[in-house]
Amino acid sequence: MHRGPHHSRRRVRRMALLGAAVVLALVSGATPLSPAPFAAAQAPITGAGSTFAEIAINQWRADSARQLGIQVNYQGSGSTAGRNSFTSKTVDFASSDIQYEEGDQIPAAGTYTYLPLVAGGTALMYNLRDPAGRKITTLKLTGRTAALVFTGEIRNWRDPAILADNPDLANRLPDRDIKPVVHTGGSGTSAVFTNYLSAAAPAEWGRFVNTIRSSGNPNWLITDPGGAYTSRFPTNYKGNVPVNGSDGVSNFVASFPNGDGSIGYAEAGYAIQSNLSVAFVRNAAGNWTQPTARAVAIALTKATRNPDGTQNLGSVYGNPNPETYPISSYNYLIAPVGGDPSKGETLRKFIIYSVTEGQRKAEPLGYSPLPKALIAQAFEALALIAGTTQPPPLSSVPEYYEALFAAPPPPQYVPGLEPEAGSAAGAGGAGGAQGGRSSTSADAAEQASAEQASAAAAAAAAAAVAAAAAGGLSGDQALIDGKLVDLALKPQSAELIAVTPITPRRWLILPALVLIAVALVPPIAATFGRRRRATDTG
Amino acid sequence: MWTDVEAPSASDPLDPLDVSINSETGSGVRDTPRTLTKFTSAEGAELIGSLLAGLSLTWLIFFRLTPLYGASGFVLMSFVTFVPIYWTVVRQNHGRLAAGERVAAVIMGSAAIAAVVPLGLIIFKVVAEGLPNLRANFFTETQQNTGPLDPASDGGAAHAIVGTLQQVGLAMIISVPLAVLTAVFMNEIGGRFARIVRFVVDTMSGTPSIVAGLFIYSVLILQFDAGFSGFAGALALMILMLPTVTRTTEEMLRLVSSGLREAALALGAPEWRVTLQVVLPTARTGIATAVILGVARAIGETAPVLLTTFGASTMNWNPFSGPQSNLPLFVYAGIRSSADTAVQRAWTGAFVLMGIVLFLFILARIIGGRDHLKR
Repeated sequence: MHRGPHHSRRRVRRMALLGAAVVLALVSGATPLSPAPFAAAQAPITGAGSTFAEIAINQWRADSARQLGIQVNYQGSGSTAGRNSFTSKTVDFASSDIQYEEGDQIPAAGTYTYLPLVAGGTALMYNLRDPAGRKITTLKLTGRTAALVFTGEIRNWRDPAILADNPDLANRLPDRDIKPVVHTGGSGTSAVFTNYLSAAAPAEWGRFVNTIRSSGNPNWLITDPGGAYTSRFPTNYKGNVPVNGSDGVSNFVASFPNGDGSIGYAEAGYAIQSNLSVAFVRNAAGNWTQPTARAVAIALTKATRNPDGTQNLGSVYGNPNPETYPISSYNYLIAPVGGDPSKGETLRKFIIYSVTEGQRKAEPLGYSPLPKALIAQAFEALALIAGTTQPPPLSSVPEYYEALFAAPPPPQYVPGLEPEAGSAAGAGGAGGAQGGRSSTSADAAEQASAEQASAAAAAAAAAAVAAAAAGGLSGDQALIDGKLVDLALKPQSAELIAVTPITPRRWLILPALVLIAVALVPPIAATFGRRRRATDTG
Repeated sequence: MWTDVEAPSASDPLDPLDVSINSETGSGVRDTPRTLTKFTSAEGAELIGSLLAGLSLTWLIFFRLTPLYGASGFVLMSFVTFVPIYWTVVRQNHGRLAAGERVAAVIMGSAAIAAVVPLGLIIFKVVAEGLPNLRANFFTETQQNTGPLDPASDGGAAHAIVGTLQQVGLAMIISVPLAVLTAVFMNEIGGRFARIVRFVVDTMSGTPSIVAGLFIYSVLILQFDAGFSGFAGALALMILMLPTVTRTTEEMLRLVSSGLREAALALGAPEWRVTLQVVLPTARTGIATAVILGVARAIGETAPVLLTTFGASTMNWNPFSGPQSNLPLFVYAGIRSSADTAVQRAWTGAFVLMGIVLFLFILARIIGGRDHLKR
């Protein structure tokens, strides 16, 4: 084809220009889809760590992006991995359920700080059907039975210990093996749960620690030198199922047939997401409770502050209040002291949003909001982070914690009586004051941090509104960064998590078949239709 | 010309499988080429009838005679009963030789179908799960404003699509020139060193993808403190793309006829001009195919980008700094979640990813079709 002598050179030049333009476009980054108006003052930040708080952090990440335009990324890689990533500075903040422990790469003292982010209860979620095929939703476990289950000393659902805890299920518990599901790797949820087990069932836990330590298996570690807890639950020990992350645990337990007869531990929000039944655990007062926001909040009134900013949960497990859920804990954010100011601005804004307005969504997501004392502690720690964004005054902080006590205590769960809507989401039947005992708020008045609770219980709604009105804010507004932000929730459907219903569309079958034909028929036709011919070897 | 091994017996009825005797030499000679895949209606009936017989016999065994159960066992046993039945039928009608050949053809055809059916099932499943949730906002929005309480239609994967395109694009920019030059070296220059290079490239193509990711993670991100970035992911993908593109390009360069090279050399062109202006343009479509195959290999790899790009829910236009998302990671993170909404979004992401790969393969076929190498 005659195209002239310079045609190929012109083509080459055009292709080169086109190629360069493509490269420049890809790499330049100038775009209309760029993030929000505040791009200059704040940089995107990345965090990693606990899956315990992952649901809440993801919600706050999305909400603060919507309200404040900041960009936060978070990956739930596990508490230990998050802490180590923070130390090696590959992420800007970490989320962890425990403080740095022996075996972690610990950063230099004074270069990091803990601050409390949210409280939550570790739920024991299970998937069990009776021999008639009906779901069991009212399983009860004492701390000792739970320890026996997870340390492998009980292997069958009809073991006498479980039957003793569940006399009303004596005819319904199936004769099957228990599959305990544990977290792999360094998990903060494992640490929190085993800490409870060591307090609630010291003999059983002690036996387990001794067995593990004398087994000689290098993969089985008890990460706490004192043996009080472990971040790495020994995996494949006596048939337990190791799964990665809280998501993995709830997915496995909910799956069929693998998860049938299994029981796992993860934050209560995961049981809500996977629609799993949550076991009632016996608290120190002898009542059976589930990890509702209120039960967790009441339990944590006995937490005391450690010097480094974390909370000591030693007295939480034995809290004598009749409404507590014993396996309650806090989740902490590990932030760098000083550092990049633009990243610090974003981190400050994110933290301020999370501990103030973000706590509104703690209860719907399966967590428990922070009390004022811990919000104040978070604001104090904020001063160490780089940046200039200031937290709002403590008096103007929305009072979601206090609102938990505004309502009258829910009715006590009586074994043998089905609680309302058996799954965790409907566990309003958790705990509760017994017949003649004094109300919750009177008991809680003995502790310092619960004074707000009793005051709020007296006139909680009025108090919240009064505080807001005093600050010039309406119920749905908050003062963040000196700006009045309207934080009204989008109208939500009755279901907690709106799921787009997927209806099978039969008209899709034809396009799917067309796609398959397009992909498959030509090679088949080519193979079968081809006639053999001599090839040119030129 | 095919010659028959056994002489036909007089009782065999005449049919295309049969032989006729060559009157001159007296040996059995076939008049028309035998095609094992063309069936007359009678032979088709034999095949279908035997299939039904196999199925019925297996149904009898599974549901009436034994306590065996399971779909896969049923399929396997019906195949195992079908083959002898078919052999018997064909032997009855056409003779032992024809029976053996037909059974062999059927077994090979079944193997081909068994190899292809999983692909069809995968495509169907991904389309059925991913298409319903596909909306325009999937391509324009990110997950920045989407939390656990939002419905599945909220947000999109624009950040993942941009990330994939950028990372694969960067990997392509780095690896394609390297690969083409390596292939040119191996083919045009040759020699002992070229053999060593060829061996190394072949070995490199067997690198597990997670090892490529681990390597970049430990060297670039940990040791050099570069942090997670799309560029680190691009480097990990480049390690996987390079051997594929190199080997295919080398094959394509080999197909260029040496007559062209000799003609150019005879006209007085130096070696580099011959390569640049004669060999490479001739193999142009082959190289394009090689590049597209390399890209299609790299675009769906999850393991290397898992460790190097870290993933993000926000848009990151700069691949050189900051974590970036990409489609395989988007799908992986979504599927692992316990929230139904995230799982639905992941299926849609898988559908989009599959669409991109399908598009690339179709492109490769189209380009490969207009091939200057085959005459």
